[in-house]
Amino acid sequence: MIREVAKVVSNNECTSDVYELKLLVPGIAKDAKVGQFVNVYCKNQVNLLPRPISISEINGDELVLLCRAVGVGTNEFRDLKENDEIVIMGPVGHGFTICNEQRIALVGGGIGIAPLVELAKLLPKESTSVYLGIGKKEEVGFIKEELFRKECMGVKVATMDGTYGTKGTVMDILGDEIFDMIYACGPLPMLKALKKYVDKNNIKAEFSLEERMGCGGLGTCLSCVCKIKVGDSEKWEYKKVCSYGPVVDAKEVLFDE
Amino acid sequence: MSRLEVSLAGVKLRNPVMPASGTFGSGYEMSEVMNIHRLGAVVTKGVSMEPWLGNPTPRVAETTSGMLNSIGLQNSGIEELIKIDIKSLQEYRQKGGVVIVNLAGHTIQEYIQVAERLNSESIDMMELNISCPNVKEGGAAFGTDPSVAEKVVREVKKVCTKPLIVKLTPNVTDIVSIAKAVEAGGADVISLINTLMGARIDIEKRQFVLAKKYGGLSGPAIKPVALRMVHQVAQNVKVPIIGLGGIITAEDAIEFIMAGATAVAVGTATFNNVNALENIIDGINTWCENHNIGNIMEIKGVV
Repeated sequence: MIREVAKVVSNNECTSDVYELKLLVPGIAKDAKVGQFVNVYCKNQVNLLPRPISISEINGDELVLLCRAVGVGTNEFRDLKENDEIVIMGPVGHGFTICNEQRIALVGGGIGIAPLVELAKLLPKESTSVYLGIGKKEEVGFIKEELFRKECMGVKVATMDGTYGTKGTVMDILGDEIFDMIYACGPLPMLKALKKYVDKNNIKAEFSLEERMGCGGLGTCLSCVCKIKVGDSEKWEYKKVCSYGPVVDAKEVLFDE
Repeated sequence: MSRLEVSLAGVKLRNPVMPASGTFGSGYEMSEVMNIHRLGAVVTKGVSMEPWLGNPTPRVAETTSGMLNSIGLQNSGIEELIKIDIKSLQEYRQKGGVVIVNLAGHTIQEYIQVAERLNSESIDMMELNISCPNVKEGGAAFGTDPSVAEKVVREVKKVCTKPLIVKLTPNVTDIVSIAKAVEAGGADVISLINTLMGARIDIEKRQFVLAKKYGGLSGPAIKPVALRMVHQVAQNVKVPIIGLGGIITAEDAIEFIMAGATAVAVGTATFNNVNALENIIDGINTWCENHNIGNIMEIKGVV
Protein backbone atom coordinates (compact mmCIF):
# COMPACT_ATOMS: atom_id res chain seq x y z
CA MET A 1 0.00 0.00 0.00
CA ILE A 2 1.38 3.41 -0.94
CA ARG A 3 0.30 7.02 -0.95
CA GLU A 4 0.65 8.51 -4.40
CA VAL A 5 -0.33 11.64 -6.26
CA ALA A 6 -2.51 10.55 -9.18
CA LYS A 7 -3.00 12.49 -12.38
CA VAL A 8 -6.49 12.62 -13.85
CA VAL A 9 -6.45 11.18 -17.38
CA SER A 10 -10.15 11.76 -17.93
CA ASN A 11 -13.35 12.21 -16.00
CA ASN A 12 -16.49 11.35 -17.92
CA GLU A 13 -20.08 11.77 -16.88
CA CYS A 14 -21.98 8.50 -17.33
CA THR A 15 -25.31 9.54 -15.85
CA SER A 16 -26.54 12.53 -13.85
CA ASP A 17 -24.73 11.30 -10.73
CA VAL A 18 -22.24 8.65 -11.89
CA TYR A 19 -18.86 9.43 -13.42
CA GLU A 20 -15.89 7.43 -14.63
CA LEU A 21 -12.55 8.66 -13.33
CA LYS A 22 -9.41 7.47 -15.13
CA LEU A 23 -6.27 8.03 -13.10
CA LEU A 24 -2.60 7.74 -14.00
CA VAL A 25 -1.21 6.21 -10.84
CA PRO A 26 1.58 3.77 -11.77
CA GLY A 27 2.76 2.82 -8.28
CA ILE A 28 -0.64 1.71 -7.08
CA ALA A 29 -1.80 0.31 -10.44
CA LYS A 30 1.28 -1.96 -10.56
CA ASP A 31 0.19 -3.76 -7.37
CA ALA A 32 -3.59 -3.51 -7.77
CA LYS A 33 -5.61 -6.71 -7.93
CA VAL A 34 -9.20 -7.32 -8.97
CA GLY A 35 -11.67 -6.49 -6.20
CA GLN A 36 -9.35 -4.25 -4.19
CA PHE A 37 -10.11 -0.60 -3.47
CA VAL A 38 -8.26 2.70 -3.15
CA ASN A 39 -8.66 5.67 -0.82
CA VAL A 40 -9.29 8.98 -2.48
CA TYR A 41 -8.55 12.08 -0.39
CA CYS A 42 -10.46 15.35 -0.61
CA LYS A 43 -8.62 18.54 -1.46
CA ASN A 44 -10.86 20.43 0.91
CA GLN A 45 -9.33 19.72 4.32
CA VAL A 46 -12.69 20.25 6.01
CA ASN A 47 -13.33 16.67 4.82
CA LEU A 48 -10.63 14.66 6.53
CA LEU A 49 -11.51 11.04 5.93
CA PRO A 50 -10.49 9.14 2.82
CA ARG A 51 -13.21 7.89 0.48
CA PRO A 52 -12.81 4.16 -0.14
CA ILE A 53 -13.66 3.47 -3.79
CA SER A 54 -13.59 0.15 -5.65
CA ILE A 55 -11.13 -0.32 -8.46
CA SER A 56 -13.29 -0.86 -11.53
CA GLU A 57 -10.53 -1.52 -14.07
CA ILE A 58 -6.76 -1.89 -14.03
CA ASN A 59 -5.20 -0.82 -17.34
CA GLY A 60 -1.42 -0.75 -17.15
CA ASP A 61 -0.44 2.41 -15.27
CA GLU A 62 -4.06 3.52 -15.06
CA LEU A 63 -6.90 2.77 -12.71
CA VAL A 64 -10.56 3.33 -13.57
CA LEU A 65 -12.93 4.28 -10.76
CA LEU A 66 -16.67 4.30 -11.27
CA CYS A 67 -18.09 6.70 -8.71
CA ARG A 68 -21.52 7.86 -7.68
CA ALA A 69 -21.80 11.37 -6.28
CA VAL A 70 -23.45 10.80 -2.94
CA GLY A 71 -21.86 13.42 -0.69
CA VAL A 72 -19.27 16.14 -0.31
CA GLY A 73 -16.29 13.94 -1.21
CA THR A 74 -17.68 12.23 -4.27
CA ASN A 75 -19.16 15.58 -5.38
CA GLU A 76 -15.68 17.11 -5.20
CA PHE A 77 -14.17 14.29 -7.29
CA ARG A 78 -16.90 14.74 -9.91
CA ASP A 79 -15.45 18.15 -10.68
CA LEU A 80 -11.92 16.85 -11.32
CA LYS A 81 -10.58 17.80 -14.75
CA GLU A 82 -7.98 16.26 -17.03
CA ASN A 83 -4.44 16.76 -15.60
CA ASP A 84 -5.72 17.62 -12.11
CA GLU A 85 -3.82 15.93 -9.31
CA ILE A 86 -5.33 14.04 -6.41
CA VAL A 87 -3.91 12.01 -3.54
CA ILE A 88 -4.68 8.28 -3.56
CA MET A 89 -3.63 5.50 -1.19
CA GLY A 90 -3.79 1.85 -2.08
CA PRO A 91 -4.30 -0.76 -3.22
CA VAL A 92 -6.22 -1.96 -0.19
CA GLY A 93 -7.80 -5.21 0.95
CA HIS A 94 -8.42 -8.71 -0.29
CA GLY A 95 -10.08 -8.88 -3.68
CA PHE A 96 -11.86 -11.61 -5.65
CA THR A 97 -10.34 -15.06 -6.17
CA ILE A 98 -10.44 -16.21 -9.77
CA CYS A 99 -12.07 -19.62 -10.25
CA ASN A 100 -12.32 -22.15 -13.08
CA GLU A 101 -15.91 -23.18 -12.53
CA GLN A 102 -18.21 -23.98 -15.45
CA ARG A 103 -21.20 -21.86 -14.48
CA ILE A 104 -20.21 -18.47 -13.09
CA ALA A 105 -22.49 -15.52 -12.39
CA LEU A 106 -21.47 -11.91 -11.86
CA VAL A 107 -24.21 -10.14 -9.95
CA GLY A 108 -24.07 -6.38 -9.62
CA GLY A 109 -26.50 -3.90 -8.15
CA GLY A 110 -26.29 -0.17 -8.84
CA ILE A 111 -22.81 1.30 -8.48
CA GLY A 112 -21.79 -2.08 -7.04
CA ILE A 113 -21.27 -3.10 -10.65
CA ALA A 114 -17.91 -1.27 -10.53
CA PRO A 115 -15.54 -4.00 -9.25
CA LEU A 116 -17.16 -6.64 -11.49
CA VAL A 117 -15.87 -4.94 -14.65
CA GLU A 118 -12.24 -5.99 -14.16
CA LEU A 119 -13.40 -9.38 -12.93
CA ALA A 120 -15.34 -9.97 -16.16
CA LYS A 121 -12.11 -9.58 -18.12
CA LEU A 122 -10.33 -12.23 -16.06
CA LEU A 123 -12.93 -14.99 -16.00
CA PRO A 124 -13.42 -17.46 -18.88
CA LYS A 125 -15.88 -15.91 -21.32
CA GLU A 126 -17.80 -19.10 -22.10
CA SER A 127 -18.50 -19.81 -18.40
CA THR A 128 -19.56 -16.38 -17.19
CA SER A 129 -23.00 -14.76 -17.22
CA VAL A 130 -23.76 -11.26 -15.96
CA TYR A 131 -26.82 -10.07 -14.04
CA LEU A 132 -27.14 -6.36 -13.40
CA GLY A 133 -29.77 -4.54 -11.39
CA ILE A 134 -30.39 -0.80 -11.63
CA GLY A 135 -33.16 1.63 -10.77
CA LYS A 136 -34.12 3.00 -14.15
CA LYS A 137 -33.15 3.18 -17.82
CA GLU A 138 -31.02 6.30 -17.39
CA GLU A 139 -28.56 4.27 -15.33
CA VAL A 140 -27.68 2.14 -18.34
CA GLY A 141 -25.10 4.89 -18.88
CA PHE A 142 -22.73 3.39 -16.32
CA ILE A 143 -23.30 -0.36 -16.41
CA LYS A 144 -20.75 -1.12 -19.16
CA GLU A 145 -23.16 -3.47 -20.91
CA GLU A 146 -21.09 -3.60 -24.09
CA LEU A 147 -17.92 -4.47 -22.23
CA PHE A 148 -19.68 -7.21 -20.29
CA ARG A 149 -21.16 -8.59 -23.56
CA LYS A 150 -17.69 -8.71 -25.08
CA GLU A 151 -16.08 -10.40 -22.07
CA CYS A 152 -18.90 -12.72 -20.98
CA MET A 153 -21.44 -15.14 -22.35
CA GLY A 154 -24.56 -13.10 -21.73
CA VAL A 155 -25.86 -10.07 -19.91
CA LYS A 156 -29.27 -9.62 -18.31
CA VAL A 157 -30.45 -6.33 -16.88
CA ALA A 158 -33.26 -5.60 -14.46
CA THR A 159 -34.69 -2.15 -13.71
CA MET A 160 -36.86 -1.39 -10.72
CA ASP A 161 -39.30 0.63 -12.84
CA GLY A 162 -39.23 -1.69 -15.85
CA THR A 163 -37.95 0.98 -18.28
CA TYR A 164 -35.10 -1.28 -19.45
CA GLY A 165 -34.69 -5.05 -19.49
CA THR A 166 -36.79 -6.98 -17.00
CA LYS A 167 -38.86 -5.17 -14.38
CA GLY A 168 -37.73 -6.05 -10.90
CA THR A 169 -34.54 -6.71 -9.01
CA VAL A 170 -31.48 -8.68 -9.96
CA MET A 171 -32.97 -11.63 -8.04
CA ASP A 172 -35.82 -11.75 -10.56
CA ILE A 173 -33.46 -12.22 -13.52
CA LEU A 174 -31.37 -14.85 -11.76
CA GLY A 175 -34.50 -16.99 -11.79
CA ASP A 176 -33.90 -20.67 -11.16
CA GLU A 177 -30.54 -20.89 -12.83
CA ILE A 178 -27.95 -22.97 -11.05
CA PHE A 179 -24.39 -21.77 -10.72
CA ASP A 180 -21.13 -23.14 -9.36
CA MET A 181 -19.84 -19.72 -8.35
CA ILE A 182 -21.33 -16.27 -7.85
CA TYR A 183 -19.44 -13.01 -7.48
CA ALA A 184 -21.53 -10.11 -6.22
CA CYS A 185 -21.37 -6.48 -5.23
CA GLY A 186 -24.29 -4.19 -4.57
CA PRO A 187 -26.63 -2.70 -1.98
CA LEU A 188 -27.23 -4.54 1.28
CA PRO A 189 -30.80 -5.73 0.46
CA MET A 190 -29.44 -7.37 -2.72
CA LEU A 191 -26.61 -9.10 -0.85
CA LYS A 192 -29.02 -10.28 1.85
CA ALA A 193 -31.34 -11.82 -0.77
CA LEU A 194 -28.38 -13.35 -2.57
CA LYS A 195 -26.98 -14.75 0.67
CA LYS A 196 -30.26 -16.64 1.22
CA TYR A 197 -30.15 -17.86 -2.37
CA VAL A 198 -26.58 -19.17 -2.25
CA ASP A 199 -27.03 -20.70 1.22
CA LYS A 200 -30.21 -22.49 0.12
CA ASN A 201 -28.70 -23.80 -3.10
CA ASN A 202 -25.27 -24.41 -1.63
CA ILE A 203 -23.51 -22.24 -4.21
CA LYS A 204 -20.01 -20.90 -3.64
CA ALA A 205 -20.00 -17.12 -3.61
CA GLU A 206 -17.88 -14.06 -2.91
CA PHE A 207 -19.42 -10.74 -1.88
CA SER A 208 -17.70 -7.38 -2.01
CA LEU A 209 -18.86 -5.40 1.02
CA GLU A 210 -19.14 -1.71 1.72
CA GLU A 211 -18.86 -0.01 5.12
CA ARG A 212 -18.01 3.44 6.43
CA MET A 213 -14.28 3.65 7.08
CA GLY A 214 -11.95 5.87 9.11
CA CYS A 215 -8.32 4.98 8.61
CA GLY A 216 -8.65 3.91 4.99
CA GLY A 217 -7.63 0.32 5.15
CA LEU A 218 -4.66 0.22 7.49
CA GLY A 219 -6.81 -1.65 9.97
CA THR A 220 -6.06 0.79 12.77
CA CYS A 221 -9.43 2.40 13.47
CA LEU A 222 -11.75 -0.63 13.62
CA SER A 223 -14.65 1.31 12.11
CA CYS A 224 -15.60 -0.84 9.14
CA VAL A 225 -16.39 -4.20 10.71
CA CYS A 226 -18.73 -6.93 9.47
CA LYS A 227 -19.95 -10.08 11.20
CA ILE A 228 -17.98 -13.18 10.24
CA LYS A 229 -18.86 -16.68 11.46
CA VAL A 230 -16.36 -18.43 13.69
CA GLY A 231 -15.85 -21.96 12.33
CA ASP A 232 -19.04 -23.97 11.99
CA SER A 233 -20.56 -22.66 15.20
CA GLU A 234 -23.32 -20.10 15.69
CA LYS A 235 -20.71 -17.70 17.00
CA TRP A 236 -19.47 -14.70 15.06
CA GLU A 237 -16.86 -12.01 15.45
CA TYR A 238 -16.33 -8.57 13.97
CA LYS A 239 -13.73 -8.52 11.20
CA LYS A 240 -12.50 -5.45 9.38
CA VAL A 241 -14.03 -4.97 5.92
CA CYS A 242 -10.93 -2.99 4.86
CA SER A 243 -8.36 -5.70 5.53
CA TYR A 244 -10.25 -8.98 5.94
CA GLY A 245 -12.40 -7.92 2.96
CA PRO A 246 -13.75 -6.05 1.13
CA VAL A 247 -14.38 -9.37 -0.64
CA VAL A 248 -15.57 -12.09 1.74
CA ASP A 249 -16.79 -15.65 1.40
CA ALA A 250 -20.59 -15.44 1.33
CA LYS A 251 -20.86 -18.47 3.60
CA GLU A 252 -18.89 -16.72 6.34
CA VAL A 253 -20.61 -13.36 6.40
CA LEU A 254 -23.69 -12.68 8.53
CA PHE A 255 -26.14 -9.85 7.89
CA ASP A 256 -28.43 -8.32 10.49
CA GLU A 257 -32.10 -8.94 9.78
CA MET B 1 19.81 16.74 25.49
CA SER B 2 18.73 16.92 21.90
CA ARG B 3 16.36 19.56 20.64
CA LEU B 4 13.20 17.47 20.72
CA GLU B 5 13.91 15.20 23.68
CA VAL B 6 11.40 15.39 26.53
CA SER B 7 10.77 13.44 29.71
CA LEU B 8 7.46 12.11 31.05
CA ALA B 9 7.61 10.90 34.66
CA GLY B 10 11.24 9.89 34.24
CA VAL B 11 10.70 8.22 30.87
CA LYS B 12 12.76 9.83 28.12
CA LEU B 13 11.13 10.39 24.73
CA ARG B 14 13.33 11.26 21.75
CA ASN B 15 10.60 13.65 20.65
CA PRO B 16 7.24 14.68 22.11
CA VAL B 17 5.09 13.17 19.35
CA MET B 18 3.03 9.99 19.68
CA PRO B 19 -0.13 8.55 18.16
CA ALA B 20 -3.41 8.77 20.10
CA SER B 21 -4.68 5.47 21.39
CA GLY B 22 -7.14 3.75 19.08
CA THR B 23 -6.04 5.50 15.91
CA PHE B 24 -2.84 3.61 15.27
CA GLY B 25 -3.62 -0.04 15.96
CA SER B 26 -0.59 -1.24 17.84
CA GLY B 27 1.92 0.39 15.54
CA TYR B 28 2.99 -2.53 13.40
CA GLU B 29 -0.05 -2.07 11.16
CA MET B 30 1.38 1.36 10.31
CA SER B 31 4.91 0.12 9.53
CA GLU B 32 3.76 -0.64 5.99
CA VAL B 33 3.25 3.04 5.22
CA MET B 34 5.52 4.95 7.62
CA ASN B 35 8.68 4.73 9.72
CA ILE B 36 7.39 4.15 13.24
CA HIS B 37 10.96 4.30 14.58
CA ARG B 38 10.77 8.07 14.34
CA LEU B 39 7.99 8.32 16.93
CA GLY B 40 8.67 9.45 20.48
CA ALA B 41 6.23 6.86 21.76
CA VAL B 42 3.68 4.39 20.42
CA VAL B 43 0.34 4.13 22.24
CA THR B 44 -1.55 0.92 21.61
CA LYS B 45 -5.31 0.55 21.20
CA GLY B 46 -7.26 0.12 24.47
CA VAL B 47 -7.01 -3.37 25.91
CA SER B 48 -9.26 -5.15 28.39
CA MET B 49 -8.84 -8.42 30.26
CA GLU B 50 -11.18 -10.40 28.00
CA PRO B 51 -11.90 -9.70 24.31
CA TRP B 52 -14.59 -7.06 23.68
CA LEU B 53 -16.83 -7.22 20.60
CA GLY B 54 -17.29 -3.49 20.18
CA ASN B 55 -20.35 -1.64 18.86
CA PRO B 56 -22.55 -2.27 15.82
CA THR B 57 -21.91 -0.34 12.57
CA PRO B 58 -21.90 2.39 11.35
CA ARG B 59 -19.17 3.20 13.83
CA VAL B 60 -17.83 6.29 12.12
CA ALA B 61 -19.18 9.46 10.54
CA GLU B 62 -17.38 12.42 9.08
CA THR B 63 -18.28 15.89 10.35
CA THR B 64 -17.14 19.37 9.39
CA SER B 65 -13.40 19.39 10.17
CA GLY B 66 -13.74 16.29 12.27
CA MET B 67 -15.22 12.87 12.72
CA LEU B 68 -17.41 10.93 15.12
CA ASN B 69 -16.49 7.45 16.22
CA SER B 70 -18.27 4.83 18.22
CA ILE B 71 -15.99 1.80 18.12
CA GLY B 72 -16.72 0.64 21.65
CA LEU B 73 -13.14 -0.45 22.41
CA GLN B 74 -13.24 -3.60 20.32
CA ASN B 75 -10.12 -5.57 21.26
CA SER B 76 -8.88 -9.13 21.43
CA GLY B 77 -8.00 -9.05 25.13
CA ILE B 78 -4.76 -8.74 27.06
CA GLU B 79 -3.25 -12.15 26.21
CA GLU B 80 -3.53 -11.51 22.48
CA LEU B 81 -2.04 -8.03 22.92
CA ILE B 82 0.94 -9.44 24.80
CA LYS B 83 1.45 -12.29 22.36
CA ILE B 84 1.19 -10.28 19.15
CA ASP B 85 1.15 -6.52 19.60
CA ILE B 86 3.68 -5.99 22.38
CA LYS B 87 5.99 -8.55 20.81
CA SER B 88 5.83 -6.77 17.48
CA LEU B 89 6.84 -3.49 19.17
CA GLN B 90 10.03 -4.86 20.73
CA GLU B 91 12.28 -3.87 17.84
CA TYR B 92 10.89 -0.34 18.08
CA ARG B 93 11.44 -0.37 21.86
CA GLN B 94 14.99 -1.72 21.62
CA LYS B 95 15.84 1.11 19.27
CA GLY B 96 14.81 3.67 21.87
CA GLY B 97 11.07 3.98 21.31
CA VAL B 98 8.70 4.22 24.27
CA VAL B 99 5.80 1.74 24.39
CA ILE B 100 2.62 2.85 26.13
CA VAL B 101 -0.30 0.45 26.57
CA ASN B 102 -3.79 1.90 26.94
CA LEU B 103 -5.94 0.14 29.54
CA ALA B 104 -9.71 -0.37 29.28
CA GLY B 105 -12.05 -1.88 31.83
CA HIS B 106 -15.70 -2.21 32.81
CA THR B 107 -14.83 -2.23 36.52
CA ILE B 108 -12.01 -1.07 38.78
CA GLN B 109 -11.14 -4.72 39.27
CA GLU B 110 -10.70 -5.21 35.52
CA TYR B 111 -8.35 -2.20 35.24
CA ILE B 112 -6.33 -3.65 38.13
CA GLN B 113 -6.13 -7.08 36.50
CA VAL B 114 -4.92 -5.63 33.20
CA ALA B 115 -2.31 -3.48 34.96
CA GLU B 116 -1.06 -6.43 37.01
CA ARG B 117 -0.83 -8.60 33.93
CA LEU B 118 1.23 -5.94 32.15
CA ASN B 119 3.69 -5.19 34.97
CA SER B 120 6.13 -7.87 33.89
CA GLU B 121 5.89 -7.12 30.16
CA SER B 122 8.40 -5.15 28.10
CA ILE B 123 6.52 -1.88 28.03
CA ASP B 124 7.36 1.56 29.43
CA MET B 125 4.14 3.15 30.60
CA MET B 126 0.44 2.46 30.96
CA GLU B 127 -2.38 4.83 30.07
CA LEU B 128 -5.60 4.48 32.03
CA ASN B 129 -8.59 5.21 29.83
CA ILE B 130 -11.29 6.57 32.11
CA SER B 131 -12.73 8.62 29.31
CA CYS B 132 -14.14 6.49 26.49
CA PRO B 133 -17.61 7.86 25.65
CA ASN B 134 -18.61 4.73 23.74
CA VAL B 135 -18.88 2.04 26.40
CA LYS B 136 -21.67 1.84 28.93
CA GLU B 137 -19.75 0.65 31.97
CA GLY B 138 -16.27 1.81 32.74
CA GLY B 139 -14.77 4.37 30.40
CA ALA B 140 -16.16 7.84 30.96
CA ALA B 141 -18.31 6.66 33.87
CA PHE B 142 -15.09 6.71 35.90
CA GLY B 143 -13.82 9.94 34.47
CA THR B 144 -16.70 12.32 35.13
CA ASP B 145 -16.82 12.28 38.94
CA PRO B 146 -13.72 13.54 40.76
CA SER B 147 -14.02 11.18 43.74
CA VAL B 148 -14.62 8.12 41.54
CA ALA B 149 -11.75 9.12 39.24
CA GLU B 150 -9.41 9.54 42.21
CA LYS B 151 -10.42 6.13 43.58
CA VAL B 152 -9.84 4.30 40.27
CA VAL B 153 -6.42 5.88 39.86
CA ARG B 154 -5.46 5.16 43.48
CA GLU B 155 -6.46 1.49 43.19
CA VAL B 156 -4.67 0.96 39.88
CA LYS B 157 -1.62 2.84 41.12
CA LYS B 158 -1.35 0.42 44.06
CA VAL B 159 -0.54 -2.46 41.70
CA CYS B 160 0.92 -0.71 38.64
CA THR B 161 4.72 -0.75 38.61
CA LYS B 162 5.08 1.44 35.49
CA PRO B 163 4.49 5.18 35.31
CA LEU B 164 0.74 5.70 34.95
CA ILE B 165 -0.84 8.13 32.51
CA VAL B 166 -4.51 8.96 33.13
CA LYS B 167 -6.55 10.05 30.12
CA LEU B 168 -9.38 12.50 30.81
CA THR B 169 -12.70 13.11 29.14
CA PRO B 170 -13.70 16.66 28.22
CA ASN B 171 -17.36 15.81 28.79
CA VAL B 172 -17.38 17.29 32.29
CA THR B 173 -18.38 20.57 33.89
CA ASP B 174 -15.03 21.22 35.53
CA ILE B 175 -11.95 19.60 33.99
CA VAL B 176 -9.66 21.08 36.64
CA SER B 177 -11.37 19.29 39.52
CA ILE B 178 -11.03 15.95 37.69
CA ALA B 179 -7.38 16.63 36.90
CA LYS B 180 -6.61 17.54 40.51
CA ALA B 181 -8.41 14.40 41.68
CA VAL B 182 -6.42 12.03 39.47
CA GLU B 183 -3.21 13.79 40.47
CA ALA B 184 -4.16 13.27 44.12
CA GLY B 185 -4.88 9.63 43.28
CA GLY B 186 -1.30 9.25 42.09
CA ALA B 187 -1.38 9.82 38.34
CA ASP B 188 2.17 10.31 37.04
CA VAL B 189 1.04 11.96 33.79
CA ILE B 190 -2.30 13.32 32.59
CA SER B 191 -3.40 13.10 28.96
CA LEU B 192 -6.27 15.16 27.61
CA ILE B 193 -8.62 15.43 25.86
CA ASN B 194 -10.46 12.30 24.76
CA THR B 195 -13.32 12.90 22.30
CA LEU B 196 -16.31 15.18 22.83
CA MET B 197 -19.72 13.52 22.71
CA GLY B 198 -21.59 14.39 19.53
CA ALA B 199 -24.06 13.19 16.92
CA ARG B 200 -25.00 13.39 13.25
CA ILE B 201 -28.38 12.80 11.66
CA ASP B 202 -29.13 11.51 8.16
CA ILE B 203 -32.07 13.73 7.22
CA GLU B 204 -33.23 11.51 4.33
CA LYS B 205 -33.37 8.42 6.50
CA ARG B 206 -34.49 10.47 9.51
CA GLN B 207 -32.12 8.61 11.76
CA PHE B 208 -28.76 8.98 13.45
CA VAL B 209 -25.77 8.14 11.27
CA LEU B 210 -24.05 6.13 14.00
CA ALA B 211 -25.67 2.88 15.09
CA LYS B 212 -25.23 3.94 18.72
CA LYS B 213 -26.62 7.43 17.96
CA TYR B 214 -23.88 9.35 19.79
CA GLY B 215 -20.15 9.09 19.36
CA GLY B 216 -16.88 10.83 20.16
CA LEU B 217 -15.98 13.90 18.11
CA SER B 218 -12.31 14.33 17.17
CA GLY B 219 -10.31 16.29 14.64
CA PRO B 220 -9.51 19.99 14.13
CA ALA B 221 -13.08 20.91 15.13
CA ILE B 222 -12.25 20.23 18.78
CA LYS B 223 -8.76 21.74 18.92
CA PRO B 224 -9.71 25.06 20.53
CA VAL B 225 -11.58 23.23 23.28
CA ALA B 226 -8.67 20.86 23.88
CA LEU B 227 -6.18 23.69 23.97
CA ARG B 228 -8.23 25.63 26.51
CA MET B 229 -8.56 22.56 28.74
CA VAL B 230 -4.85 21.68 28.52
CA HIS B 231 -4.02 25.23 29.57
CA GLN B 232 -6.50 25.16 32.48
CA VAL B 233 -5.17 21.84 33.73
CA ALA B 234 -1.53 22.87 33.30
CA GLN B 235 -2.18 25.86 35.54
CA ASN B 236 -3.47 23.62 38.30
CA VAL B 237 -1.44 20.39 38.41
CA LYS B 238 2.25 19.60 38.75
CA VAL B 239 2.37 16.36 36.76
CA PRO B 240 3.31 16.53 33.08
CA ILE B 241 0.59 16.64 30.43
CA ILE B 242 0.16 14.93 27.08
CA GLY B 243 -1.99 17.28 25.03
CA LEU B 244 -4.25 16.04 22.26
CA GLY B 245 -7.37 16.97 20.36
CA GLY B 246 -7.36 17.94 16.69
CA ILE B 247 -3.63 18.28 16.10
CA ILE B 248 -2.98 18.21 12.35
CA THR B 249 0.19 20.28 11.91
CA ALA B 250 3.42 21.04 13.74
CA GLU B 251 2.02 24.49 14.52
CA ASP B 252 -0.95 22.84 16.27
CA ALA B 253 1.44 20.73 18.33
CA ILE B 254 3.51 23.79 19.29
CA GLU B 255 0.33 25.52 20.46
CA PHE B 256 -0.34 22.64 22.86
CA ILE B 257 3.20 22.78 24.22
CA MET B 258 2.92 26.54 24.70
CA ALA B 259 -0.34 25.88 26.56
CA GLY B 260 1.57 23.68 28.99
CA ALA B 261 1.82 20.19 27.48
CA THR B 262 5.10 18.26 27.66
CA ALA B 263 4.14 15.92 24.81
CA VAL B 264 1.41 15.67 22.20
CA ALA B 265 -0.66 12.89 20.69
CA VAL B 266 -2.03 12.82 17.15
CA GLY B 267 -5.08 10.80 16.12
CA THR B 268 -7.51 11.82 13.41
CA ALA B 269 -4.75 13.50 11.38
CA THR B 270 -3.27 10.08 10.60
CA PHE B 271 -6.52 9.04 8.91
CA ASN B 272 -6.17 12.03 6.60
CA ASN B 273 -2.46 11.53 5.96
CA VAL B 274 -0.41 8.51 7.01
CA ASN B 275 2.66 10.75 7.15
CA ALA B 276 1.07 13.25 9.57
CA LEU B 277 3.11 12.16 12.62
CA GLU B 278 6.43 12.32 10.77
CA ASN B 279 5.50 15.68 9.22
CA ILE B 280 4.69 17.06 12.67
CA ILE B 281 8.04 15.88 14.11
CA ASP B 282 9.92 17.46 11.19
CA GLY B 283 7.84 20.63 11.46
CA ILE B 284 8.49 21.09 15.18
CA ASN B 285 12.19 20.55 14.61
CA THR B 286 12.34 23.13 11.82
CA TRP B 287 10.34 25.64 13.85
CA CYS B 288 12.72 25.24 16.80
CA GLU B 289 15.71 25.65 14.51
CA ASN B 290 14.26 28.83 13.02
CA HIS B 291 13.54 30.22 16.47
CA ASN B 292 16.86 29.25 18.05
CA ILE B 293 15.24 26.91 20.53
CA GLY B 294 17.78 24.55 22.12
CA ASN B 295 15.17 22.22 23.56
CA ILE B 296 11.44 22.20 22.92
CA MET B 297 10.71 22.47 26.66
CA GLU B 298 11.92 26.08 26.54
CA ILE B 299 8.51 27.01 25.12
CA LYS B 300 6.44 24.80 27.43
CA GLY B 301 3.72 26.83 29.10
CA VAL B 302 4.99 30.17 27.81
CA VAL B 303 1.53 31.59 27.31
